[in-house]
Amino acid sequence: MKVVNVAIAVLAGLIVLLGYFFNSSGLHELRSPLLDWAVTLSGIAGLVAILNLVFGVHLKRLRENHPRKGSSVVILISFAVTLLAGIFLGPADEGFQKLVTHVQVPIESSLMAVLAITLVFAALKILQRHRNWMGFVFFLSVILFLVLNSGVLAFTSEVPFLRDILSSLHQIPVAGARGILLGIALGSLATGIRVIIGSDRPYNG
Amino acid sequence: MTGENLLGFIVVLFTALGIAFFSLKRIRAQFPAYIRKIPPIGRLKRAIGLSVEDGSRVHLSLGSPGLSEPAGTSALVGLSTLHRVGQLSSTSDQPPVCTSGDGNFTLLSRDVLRGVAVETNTYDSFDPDQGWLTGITPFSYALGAMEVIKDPIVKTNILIGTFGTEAVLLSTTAEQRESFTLAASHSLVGQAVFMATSRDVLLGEELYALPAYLNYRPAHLASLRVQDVLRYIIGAVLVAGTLMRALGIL
Amino acid sequence: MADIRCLICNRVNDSSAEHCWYCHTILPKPTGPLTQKERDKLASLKNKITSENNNVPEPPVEEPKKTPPAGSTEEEVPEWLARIRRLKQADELDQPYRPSDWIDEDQPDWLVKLQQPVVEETPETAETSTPAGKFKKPALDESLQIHNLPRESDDSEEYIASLLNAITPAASVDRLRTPGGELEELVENGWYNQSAQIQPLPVGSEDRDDLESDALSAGVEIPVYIEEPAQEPEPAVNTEPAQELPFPLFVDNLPDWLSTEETTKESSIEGKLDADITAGEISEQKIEKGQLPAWLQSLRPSAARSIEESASESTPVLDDRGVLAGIAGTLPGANLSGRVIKPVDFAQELRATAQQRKNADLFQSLLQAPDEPVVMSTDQKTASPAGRFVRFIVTILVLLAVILPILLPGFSVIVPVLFPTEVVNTLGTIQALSADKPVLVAAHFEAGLAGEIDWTAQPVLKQLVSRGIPLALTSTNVQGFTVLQDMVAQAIGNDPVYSMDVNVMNLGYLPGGSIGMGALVNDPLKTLPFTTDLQPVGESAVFGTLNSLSDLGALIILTDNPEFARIWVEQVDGGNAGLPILAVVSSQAAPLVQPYFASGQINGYISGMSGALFYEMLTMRAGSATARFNSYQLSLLLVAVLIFAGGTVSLILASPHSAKKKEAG
Repeated sequence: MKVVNVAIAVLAGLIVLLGYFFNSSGLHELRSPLLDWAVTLSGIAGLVAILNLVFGVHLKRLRENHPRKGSSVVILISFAVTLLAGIFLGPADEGFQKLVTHVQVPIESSLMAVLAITLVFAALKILQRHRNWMGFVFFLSVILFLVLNSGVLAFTSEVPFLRDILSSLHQIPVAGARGILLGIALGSLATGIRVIIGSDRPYNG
Repeated sequence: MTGENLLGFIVVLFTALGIAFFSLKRIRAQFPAYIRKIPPIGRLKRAIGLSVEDGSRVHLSLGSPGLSEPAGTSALVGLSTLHRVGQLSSTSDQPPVCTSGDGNFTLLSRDVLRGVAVETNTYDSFDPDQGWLTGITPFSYALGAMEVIKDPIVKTNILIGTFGTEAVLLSTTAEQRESFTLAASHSLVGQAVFMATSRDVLLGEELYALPAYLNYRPAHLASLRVQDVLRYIIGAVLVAGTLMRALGIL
Repeated sequence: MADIRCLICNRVNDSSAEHCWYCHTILPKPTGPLTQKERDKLASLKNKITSENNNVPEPPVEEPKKTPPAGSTEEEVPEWLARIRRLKQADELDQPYRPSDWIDEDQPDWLVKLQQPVVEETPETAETSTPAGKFKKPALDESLQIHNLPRESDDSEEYIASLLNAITPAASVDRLRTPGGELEELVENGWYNQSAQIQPLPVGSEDRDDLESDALSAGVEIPVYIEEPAQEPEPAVNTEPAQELPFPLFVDNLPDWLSTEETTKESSIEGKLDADITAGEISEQKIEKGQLPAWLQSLRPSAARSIEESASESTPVLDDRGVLAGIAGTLPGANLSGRVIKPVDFAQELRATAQQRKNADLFQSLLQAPDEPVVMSTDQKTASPAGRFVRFIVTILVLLAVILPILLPGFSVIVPVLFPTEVVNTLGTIQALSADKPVLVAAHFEAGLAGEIDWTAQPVLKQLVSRGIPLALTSTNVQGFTVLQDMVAQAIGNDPVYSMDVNVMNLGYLPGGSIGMGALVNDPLKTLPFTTDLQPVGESAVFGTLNSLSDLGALIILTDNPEFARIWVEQVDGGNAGLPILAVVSSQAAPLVQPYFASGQINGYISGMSGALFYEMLTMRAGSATARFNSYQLSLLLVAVLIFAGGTVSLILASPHSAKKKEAG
């Protein structure tokens, strides 16, 4: 059975990959349904995972009398209300959209604010965690670009020398990001190829 | 077939053949790979060993990737790492737990954990809930994963996948718990956040080298070597292109 | 090494065991298998003996006195019998014995004694010359033999037997005469009588013929020597002479009871032989027959039984003790009452020591599942008071930096004077758009960053609305299209011309990530055929003509994730739609979008509050960015100062404890 799983995965991967490179109608005919199935399966997988979260985790906590079952009760009620509203009202309904914009956005925005404070507090101890050149350079670059992006150095635009320096400084993160992204892209490529040729089989448990 | 498509096909073919070539036993024996030391990975191995000894649990988190996105490959690496960690900690009383923010990877992580349980003859103690979805959105996922990190029995955290700014919550919670945390993200934002908040961080392509450093499979080491070759080629092309542009040829 | 079979209970023990696991008898110490040198010597001996036998003239074959009984199917002389005859003939011709070196070295003393010249004249018997695999050896001999040599073939045993016979022909006769020993096999097979007197069979003797015929008539298959279980050697009731073991023993240390019996038997055998056997003569002596067990006797053919009964001169040996008590024809066993260790008599009830009870209680407590999950709250680590204080101070300062500029209207801000190129290009692109063609606005941002995206995108949306350009909204994440619709509604505000119902079409969620984007690029109507109101897109007056992306005026990407900006660019550019692409991104994504702008793949982008400020300044429409830029600037500067201060303090006040702990970790 494992051999069949691997064969299906390899074959599907090859069809999609080759369909991207070669403009063949036959490959396109094979590729399109596979991609559609992939999108549908992703949605179903998401639904299964959500149902597991609701019933397998939070409902289980209620049954087992978990100490934090109170939050599970809130989650279950919220889930039920949102689900029923979405089914009966529809996603375009103004009332349903208010559920998102007036509940989820404030909650996540608050979390974002907490995150900002936490990040600032954590950044105070950068040099404690990374006592090396990498940490020191990171520390300096954080401060430099915070100041640059704040706009307080706007007066330098009238000084050509400083203007050029600041302009080149703005290019540094771009260059550094490009280098990292190249490495990440190569790693992604190799990982994907390993899955396509069947060397990595995360689906074959 | 356009030139870009042809070039892409050649690169893909070269990578596949290179991985197969460097995976050969003869080549591995004749031309062994020399890989540089990455201290965070060494500390990770030690942490896994310590967690096995003291009966604590290893928590691995995959972030909020999408399987159909390029960032999903980082979570695939996370799954390989999960498999390997499961093998390494098979003698522990507490099997590893995996959290993620995507339904696909939740199911895949369960599959991997089940496979590890079968491999290590610990299927009797296998619990499918060891792999679970903690939230759909990145923040809700982070909040759910924080709960797992706060579990007293979790002493080792491996955050490997796709993380954004929500990673701050995870890494600071782990630091507060004084548990070992190895962090690696596909996105630059996540890497910057981890760099500021976590001690053991993998930057850039080091994330994709993690299974090779854990001695998972020969193909992982082979793909590292292929990546190095491609990197040299790209570097040479960039330098050559810059020179030609500077000389006015291009 | 081969396993050791117990002599008493016949159970197989490990080669390294000293006592039997069942009856705790001392096990005979095995010797290792033959080395290659020994094998070679054996082979050479074999060749020598073979050549000697070939040189020996065959004795005249006497006619059998009795014809084989009716029903006998075996007409050929068995090989073992032929061999016995040959060996007898060799003895008669006084072939010199040429012992091999290794046999001389390893021979035990009792065997050496038996190798005296005086016993050379003892004629051979069928039993002595019979190959080892053909008849049963004494129990002791057999058990030891198993461990001494890996009997790969019967030939090796034959040659060893022949070798020993050449050494001690008389001894070879007598050693086989252990009552109930190996000759029991002969008895079992019907060509050996029940007589306890073991006498050598002369060549051509009637008795021997009788035995042969009995064997032939019985058609008994002589079992393999090695396979035979060891039989307990029972001492004879009527003073049977001790028998010398037919094969050279490779055992250095024999058990006491065996060596004692051998000694006594040996001396008696020697005396008997001297008295009975004359040199150079093959006397007709009856082979004393062993005693068959009663159950086996009943299985024997009647003819053989009658012959045995007639030839029997001694009463059956009965053993009155041991496991074979009361069974006739068995060798008397040694008195093992002092050796057998009875198993420990366990009481019916379970007796446990205090330590065992303690361990059992502990184990039970481990196995017992807890009723409720126990939350180990004491193990939770919390931040130190100093850490909490610093966090509190940082929070207060940041909040002040954000709130104070809002509360103090006169708070001035340093406004940049140079507009970034990307912002200017964005404005130019939007101004160049045709009002007939709709613009696709694709969103992918989380609710947490909706605030920043909203402030950044508002100037762009307002300009689009002001120009009356239709908008098609979609999102590649679940909540994006909801927030986007709210943003557009805010941008429209109270515009009397621009209507949400007419000029804006919400296409909803686009699933599949990059796969969905690719599908939308290829065929928009097929990928998103309905709006969120479930209205067909094709029936719309404005969007009904949307057959491909090239029918759009532009694509505006609203995202906090640069990855999605890149995917959109790749998909649209790969589709060769020739569509202007603009991006409204969070400030964290700006460095990654900038290369696409530099390469011309993106016509322009606006990033963060600063980008929105520039755009509002260019369009001369003051918005949220203009109103709140002072908070943004002040908080950025404050954070930079805090980080600098914290880093400096960390450098100056380096914590050895935390460094050591982290190094150890």
